[in-house]
Amino acid sequence: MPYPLTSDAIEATIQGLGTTFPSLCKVTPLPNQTNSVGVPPRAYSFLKIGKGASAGRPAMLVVAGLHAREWAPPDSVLTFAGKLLQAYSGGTDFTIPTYTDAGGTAHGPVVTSAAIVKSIIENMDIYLLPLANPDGRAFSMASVANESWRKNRSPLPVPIDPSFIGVDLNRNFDIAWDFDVYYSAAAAAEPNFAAHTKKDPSSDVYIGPTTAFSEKETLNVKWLLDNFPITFFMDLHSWTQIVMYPWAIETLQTTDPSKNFKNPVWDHNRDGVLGNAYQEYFPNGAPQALLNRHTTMVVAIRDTIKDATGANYSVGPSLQLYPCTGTSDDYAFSRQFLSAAAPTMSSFSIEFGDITENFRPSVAQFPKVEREVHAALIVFAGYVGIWKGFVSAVLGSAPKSSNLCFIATAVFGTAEHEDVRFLQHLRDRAKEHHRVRPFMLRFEAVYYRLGPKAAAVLQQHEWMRRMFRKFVLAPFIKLLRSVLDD
Amino acid sequence: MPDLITIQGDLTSIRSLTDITTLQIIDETGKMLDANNAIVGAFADSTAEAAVQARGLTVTVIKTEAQYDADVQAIYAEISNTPYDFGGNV
Repeated sequence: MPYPLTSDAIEATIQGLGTTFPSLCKVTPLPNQTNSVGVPPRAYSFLKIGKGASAGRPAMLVVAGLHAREWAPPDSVLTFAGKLLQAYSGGTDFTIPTYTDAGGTAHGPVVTSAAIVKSIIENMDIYLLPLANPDGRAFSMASVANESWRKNRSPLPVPIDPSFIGVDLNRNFDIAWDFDVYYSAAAAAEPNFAAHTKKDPSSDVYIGPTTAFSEKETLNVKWLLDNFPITFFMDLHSWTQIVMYPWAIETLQTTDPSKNFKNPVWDHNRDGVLGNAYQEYFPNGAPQALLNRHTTMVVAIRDTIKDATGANYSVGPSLQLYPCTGTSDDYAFSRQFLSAAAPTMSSFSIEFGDITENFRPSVAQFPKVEREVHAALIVFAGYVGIWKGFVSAVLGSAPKSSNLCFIATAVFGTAEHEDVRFLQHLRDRAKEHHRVRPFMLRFEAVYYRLGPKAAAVLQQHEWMRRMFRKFVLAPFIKLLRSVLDD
Repeated sequence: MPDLITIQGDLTSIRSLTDITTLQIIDETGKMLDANNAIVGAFADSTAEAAVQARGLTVTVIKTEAQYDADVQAIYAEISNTPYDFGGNV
């Protein structure tokens, strides 16, 4: 494959996918063309993948290339799309091939069954914006001197100095954008924050002039979120092996809803990383268990990446090392709190690669990073497509927690039942054990294929659920509990 | 372009590095190893490397300036204007 692609070639690939798989994907131009120094406005497109139009089907949005110099994720998103569409069209598994690391250890292959691929394509919609900053990428590829360009190429009010060009798009989203209002003066001046979010237009982390969404590129991401029923969001970056969930703006807490970014009482008083008097609210109550859902997902992504290449990604909230405002994943997540009618949103960002691969992996290094992107996206899509879509379809309503205990959920009537949670916990613990994990993964591959069908049958027959509960599941759980108590 | 390095150590010390003017911490590169221990990437000349080490932090050279330049040149030589083609394998 011809990595790395120019911005023009990325757009051509998107168009090519639409032409090659016309019944499975649709290419649509974004409403805002770029506005960049010295080049004409550029039209660019996003891709929607999915077959069918069932009501309430889940949708995920994947964004890559917000930062110009991070070359690997956009190409990887394209090859992910191509592989997924090829697998579905051919009725084959989605296979991430074996990777042999520098030490000679082989990792993978990671195989996602054709049945799961089918569920992904037929039960959900995948929106892909492979290159969110096309003029920035084109500039960074134009010469070695431009290699570290991070921002877009937007002309600023004082365009005399070349360093006064462009905005860090991942600081331009409308979440605590004006950090001088959001934080206390001390928190805004905290060195770790101040180094990564700035109002200085010559900075690499310049938030933009006048207002959030000052840039065409961020407006296009907002437009996607405004106009499509997206409830799962992921933003791809390079390069430090971290799978993250909100918040980047503050440390988080799950108990006090009044401490939230909208509450003006806290304006100019939030303490950032200087203390815990203020922490941003992250709901985790039933039925959504939103924080649990996020932590479950990032662990699943981390584990799948490790299976694929052996890389040890870490997980955690985006604030892990430093706070910043105006990021895409925080914004996507925050939208659910803006109105009572807003749907629940799950939001993630991932930094792919490591320092050896850096922002621009070599041609030889790209296949490793590409596998890691594919691993993250396939497990993410599988989670959305199977859990939210497939199970919804066969059970008639979405399960209420992040588990895939199809049969137990059908039998007990709710995923919140104590015994379902017990089984889910046991499964998760078993998967953490290195000797049991391979067995569990093989078991799940079969179970995820057959479990929903069995659950659908059980769902139709009350007598069958009662019998199964009384004579199979209840004794089994009792046995497990007694063994574990011993 | 100075050497590409990683800096590992306690968070407080890493966060105090902003006064070393020839040290360029690369944005969005922090990785927590545990509650207090982190690793970040940076570009640094020999003076900056010594200053970082003097604060009890561990410096590891990932690529020398020459290696980095060579790698950058190599990847620029590979930039492609040929789209991916997924049509032939279906």
